[in-house]
Amino acid sequence: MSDYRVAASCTALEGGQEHKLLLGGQLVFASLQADCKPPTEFVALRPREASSGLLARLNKQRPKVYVYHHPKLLTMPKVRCALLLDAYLAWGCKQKTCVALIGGMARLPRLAGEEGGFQVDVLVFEAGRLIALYDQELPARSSPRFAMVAAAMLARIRERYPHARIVQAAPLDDWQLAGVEYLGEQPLRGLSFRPIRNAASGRHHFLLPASIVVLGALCNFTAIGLAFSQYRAAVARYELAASDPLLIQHGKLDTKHLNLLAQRKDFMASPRAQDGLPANVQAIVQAIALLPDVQIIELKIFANPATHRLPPSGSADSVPSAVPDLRLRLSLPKSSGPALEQAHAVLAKLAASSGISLRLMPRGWQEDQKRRIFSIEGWQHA
Amino acid sequence: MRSAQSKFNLLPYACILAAMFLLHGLQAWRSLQNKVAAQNAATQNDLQLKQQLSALQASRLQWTQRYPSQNSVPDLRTLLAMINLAQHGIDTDSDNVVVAKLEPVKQGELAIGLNKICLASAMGDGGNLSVRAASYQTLLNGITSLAQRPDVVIGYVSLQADSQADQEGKHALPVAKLGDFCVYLRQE
Repeated sequence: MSDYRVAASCTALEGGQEHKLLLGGQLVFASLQADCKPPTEFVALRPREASSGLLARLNKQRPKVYVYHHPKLLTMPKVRCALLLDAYLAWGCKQKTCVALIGGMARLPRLAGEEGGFQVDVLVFEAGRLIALYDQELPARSSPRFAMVAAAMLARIRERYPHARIVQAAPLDDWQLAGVEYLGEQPLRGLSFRPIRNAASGRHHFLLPASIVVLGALCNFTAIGLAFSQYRAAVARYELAASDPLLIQHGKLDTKHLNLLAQRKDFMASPRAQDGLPANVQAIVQAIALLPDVQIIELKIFANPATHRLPPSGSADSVPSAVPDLRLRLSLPKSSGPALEQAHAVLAKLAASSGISLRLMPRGWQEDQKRRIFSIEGWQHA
Repeated sequence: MRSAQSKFNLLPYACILAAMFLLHGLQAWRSLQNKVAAQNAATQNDLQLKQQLSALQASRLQWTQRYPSQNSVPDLRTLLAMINLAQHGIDTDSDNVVVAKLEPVKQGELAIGLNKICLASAMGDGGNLSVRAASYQTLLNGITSLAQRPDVVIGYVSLQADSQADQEGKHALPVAKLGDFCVYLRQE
């Protein structure tokens, strides 16, 4: 036996330590008709749906069971109750065939020493719909009238609902009636005991869905708020970066302009052709000064870029480029030997002291009686 | 157990509504995060450009110091004054100096905002500027220091003996011809 107490009448409510009650019998009044008046002062509960399934849900004309409970239960707010009717309804609506359920509770005896009778509820279900609901009083089992009344009850059921399968359920004991299957506690499985006040108002039904919706909305707004604040922070960072005085002073800031600045930097850093010019001038002038009695007729020194320079003097197969680094016309006193010999000697001296490779130009010498004029080309080494 | 007591089960509808809220929240989150990422990328870009700009600051200053502005040299006279050959100890016949060429300067296909103005002496072959000094040494020193100036370009230096003066025994002033003598000026 579970931890709840079966209560069929007011007297059964008193006493007892249990906090869970299974209500039935005279404490509950139920009817399929809305206009059937309950006993006085009985409190209305939410009407129960008497059918199950999706199609039934859509059907506007669902049968309803109008339930009322004894007012005494209101004075016991701490007690959690479950209605026997709800259990039977839940079970019956799951049945697919025609079923007549005989259920109910035992009543406490009126007088001491006697056995109490039974308050029997009969529920008839057809294809998951409740089609009949009535109750009946049966005497105690020990009474001689019991068998007769029970048989009459069964006959009534069989007459009205010949196709029905008749079952009997707890809290009634197995009466072993003919053609009646005893289900025991099967329909009573999954009883949920709730405080009676909440059952009437049903307010708790809104609590869970409402909290879920609120949670969802909360997540939504939190997400939006967080992301938006991040966005604001990013914008603030941008403002900070853009408000740098360097940028404001400079004005526009784009890669084209930066490219220009970089190119200018490269231009300023690149070596210039004329960098070697002064050195060349010095070198050749000093070298010429060493020659005795020499006159410069013409000296032309070019600012050639470094790419035109000769490799270092070690390599023998160097070919001078077209434009020499310098051109020189010198006038020297005629020596005793041939012109080419003198030229060779002069060039050697000049090259040695200036470090510039020199060469006589083709047909590069002239002479008169006293002096010779040599035309010379020179290349600076890299 | 199917609750026989409930008249109207709100739970599935509540779950659907909550799911809609969550989905909307997720969408909003994603789109805002995209915006944040774009903003951050712009900030990053700006910072990068700023970094590059400050790295080039020094060279910007050098640019303005090295090359005089075109606006400060409206005519040939001021140009010659700016070149200031006298500081190098050399001198030219200013009355006969003409502008031989004026072209913009390019560094690797890109015009960098610099103009090259080439000068030449009107007499002579027109490709060079004649300068003179008190002596050969001064002349050579002057040309050397001129060649070292970053805003001056010299293509070649040509020294010629004044043979006529030599024969006559006169002491002629040393003259040099500076070929492709040009000056850089900033365009702004």
